[in-house]
Amino acid sequence: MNPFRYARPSSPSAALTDFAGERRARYVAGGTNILDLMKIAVESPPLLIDINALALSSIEVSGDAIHVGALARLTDVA
Amino acid sequence: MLSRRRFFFRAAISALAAEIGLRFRAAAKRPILHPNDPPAPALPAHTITIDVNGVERTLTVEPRVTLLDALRDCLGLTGTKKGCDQGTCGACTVMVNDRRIDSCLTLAVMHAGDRVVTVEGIAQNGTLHPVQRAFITHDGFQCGFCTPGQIVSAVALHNEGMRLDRDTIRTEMSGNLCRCGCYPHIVDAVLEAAGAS
Repeated sequence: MNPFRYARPSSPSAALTDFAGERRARYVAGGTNILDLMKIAVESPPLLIDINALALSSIEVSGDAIHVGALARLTDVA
Repeated sequence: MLSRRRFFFRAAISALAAEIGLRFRAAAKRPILHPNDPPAPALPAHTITIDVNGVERTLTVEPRVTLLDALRDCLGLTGTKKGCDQGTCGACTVMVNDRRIDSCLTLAVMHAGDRVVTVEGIAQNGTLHPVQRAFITHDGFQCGFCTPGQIVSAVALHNEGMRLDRDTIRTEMSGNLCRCGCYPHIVDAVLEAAGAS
């Protein structure tokens, strides 16, 4: 993997500010895809923004719709 | 005496010479990294604390160090294995906050403050976990390389609380590959450990 900087913002606005400062950055949540691609040099972002501290993992049922947050884990959704 | 044959021959030789010359010039401009050159400066490292098998461990690592490499190389916990390093084999399975994950596809810095359990932390005070005893009883391994991942995965599965039968075990542990083919005995072991509780 290329050397990179790591940030773990604690709010969505902070995450967007981090991204605005480095447009080649990538977000990381579970890491299953981005880290795999970085290991084979398909992706080489200079900055990884870890969004796991953001409160986005809710799974809510309302009426006949299920709202799945961006950080909801696949096993939890299942 | 100029002939077409001689003309084309000389043109081809000239073009070849020019091409070779251009390539030599380009190669001369490429930097040669000599072994004695100073290494590229590493980017700032992060100091983090992780609870590993009940003990607070402090590490200073570059962001790109995976949790797997931090456990094996920084902490000397080599029970967890690097099978594929790309999340397909499950040999690197550890528990983070009671959930089983592939430690090769996550970064150490992402787990500051988390609780990690490796295979070294499955036995408590020298007493084997029922899953470990069942693996021995049912001979659930040959070379043993996948075994730490299998055991951690089975312990976490055990804690997930679902009703386990042979098919469910095969599905829920399909992320832990065994090249030696010990699957029947592994399923026997996990089934017995599930029944024993």
